Amino acid sequence: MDLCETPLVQLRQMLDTGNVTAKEVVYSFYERIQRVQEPLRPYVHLMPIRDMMIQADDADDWLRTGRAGVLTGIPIAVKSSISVKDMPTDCASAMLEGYRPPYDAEVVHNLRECGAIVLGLTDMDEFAMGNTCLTSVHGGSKNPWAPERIPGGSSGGSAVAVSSGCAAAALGTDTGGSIRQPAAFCNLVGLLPTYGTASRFGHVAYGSSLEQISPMTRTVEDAAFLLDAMMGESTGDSTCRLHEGDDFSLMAEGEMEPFRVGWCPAWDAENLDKDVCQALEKARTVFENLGAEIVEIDLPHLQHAVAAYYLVAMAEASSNLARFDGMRFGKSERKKSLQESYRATRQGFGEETRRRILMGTFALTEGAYKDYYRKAAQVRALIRQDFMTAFESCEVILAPVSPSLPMLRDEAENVDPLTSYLADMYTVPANLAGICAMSLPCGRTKIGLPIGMQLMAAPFREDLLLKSGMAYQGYTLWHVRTAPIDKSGLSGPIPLIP
Amino acid sequence: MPPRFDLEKLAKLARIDLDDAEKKELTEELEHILEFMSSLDKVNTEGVAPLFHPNNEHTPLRNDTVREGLDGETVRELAPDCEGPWIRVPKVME
Repeated sequence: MDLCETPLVQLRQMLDTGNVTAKEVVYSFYERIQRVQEPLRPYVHLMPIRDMMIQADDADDWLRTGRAGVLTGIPIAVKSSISVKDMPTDCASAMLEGYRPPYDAEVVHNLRECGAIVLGLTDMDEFAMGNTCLTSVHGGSKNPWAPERIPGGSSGGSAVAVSSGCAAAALGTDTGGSIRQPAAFCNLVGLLPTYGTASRFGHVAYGSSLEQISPMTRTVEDAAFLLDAMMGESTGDSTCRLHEGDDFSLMAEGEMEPFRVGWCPAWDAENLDKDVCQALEKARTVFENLGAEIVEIDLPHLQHAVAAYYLVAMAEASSNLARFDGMRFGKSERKKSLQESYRATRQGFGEETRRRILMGTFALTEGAYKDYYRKAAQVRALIRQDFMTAFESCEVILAPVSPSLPMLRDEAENVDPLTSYLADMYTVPANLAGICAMSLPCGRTKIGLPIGMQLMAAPFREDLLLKSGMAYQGYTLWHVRTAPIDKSGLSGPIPLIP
Repeated sequence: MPPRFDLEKLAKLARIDLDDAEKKELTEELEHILEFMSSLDKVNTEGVAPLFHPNNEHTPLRNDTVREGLDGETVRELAPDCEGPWIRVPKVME
């Protein structure tokens, strides 16, 4: 198997047993990046090859002398909204052009403490606002399974990096599906842990009560492994709970008992793509074959999730993005007065970001607060209650990730905002409710596009998600398929070893 | 029906400049989105406590230990305009 397509846990074993060196691993990924960066554009910033090889050299040294951490020698990609010291963490926005954070986000710090080699920053929708990767000031990444199509978003670049073999795993962020949807579109596992699991310190905030930084990987086992490495004492995020004794890799092991999979019959009748519908039907059969009982559940308020989600997210965005005032960092336009300077500076926001700031500002104005923002928060409570009731009769809920398949890029560019928001109908409920969820590959369409499914579990029951996901991947091979890099005309010249 | 919002006021509050073409387009788009969001009116939320945050239960406390913050020089390097040890901003009081 190509090193670039080897799951993280296997790479770890190969490095530990001395089957490969960190230098070989890092150089393989570098070589792959050279081939696919231009056609697929996963990265917006890449560490110079010289620094990569220095870090690989150090990693080999630690491996030889028994000082290796769990990620020593493993190349990781990071979404551009997560601060990486001295790398241009610009959230794919002109507002942060040239900004290089003077510190690492806590999760990045933790990964580095474990020995990870952070290769670079990946493309995304501007400030994580979008599900196409097209609102990026950098132009957006392309889907390795079909380069004329979107990879999904907002963590599109991270999905492309892993799926195309340009990183062993990646960090993304999920505010309303931004990890799970691109993971589904690129045949990866995207795990949204329960709110409060990973430290958000150093993440450029968009919807603070909704978002989590989380892993994008090839397998469920890898996701648990990476999540373990991301954990650590958080000193900067007061919403991050303490993790004494948590071990997600351990949680992933063992049998599900009892094993009841909830399914909402209403989803069959909804506007699901035919291929997605069939793949989910097959997934239910797989779970039955694994000994699970499929139980019907009812989530009556889910139909209102998109409206409630966007009101909450936009309100929080308008508040969070007020910090971009051009006074302390990032883009700055100085005019005669302070107000003029603010306005001139904030011209740097892209179209979708402006739309959301204005909508959020509206939702928080005196006249609208009660009818919109507060109402949305009440509906949010009802949605959470729906899930809590459903989890009394099942361990996990099986759901679609996206009602549709990855669109063609030019098609996606012309979708009106509301239609685009509605495509998040299956992913936003988990963020609103504060439960955990995971998307994983469950099929392919006739033209070869990946299809993902979603599992959800009660707050802090990642053990159930991981166990059922592991059981599913032990039985199916969808996650083993790799993107057709060589068949899609992406092969290019392989550079000589420097 | 008149729009549910005053776009000029919103733009002023958000410190965002809009030209006429943008104003026209945004008025239509926002109206369209708000109409959809008004579907929440149909949900009976009487007596339901709003959920503003998914874990309201408690905030874990960290140890009260001294740690290093960013030094002035690092902060000034990021700032667009500095003078001596200060970050310079336009006059705040007019």
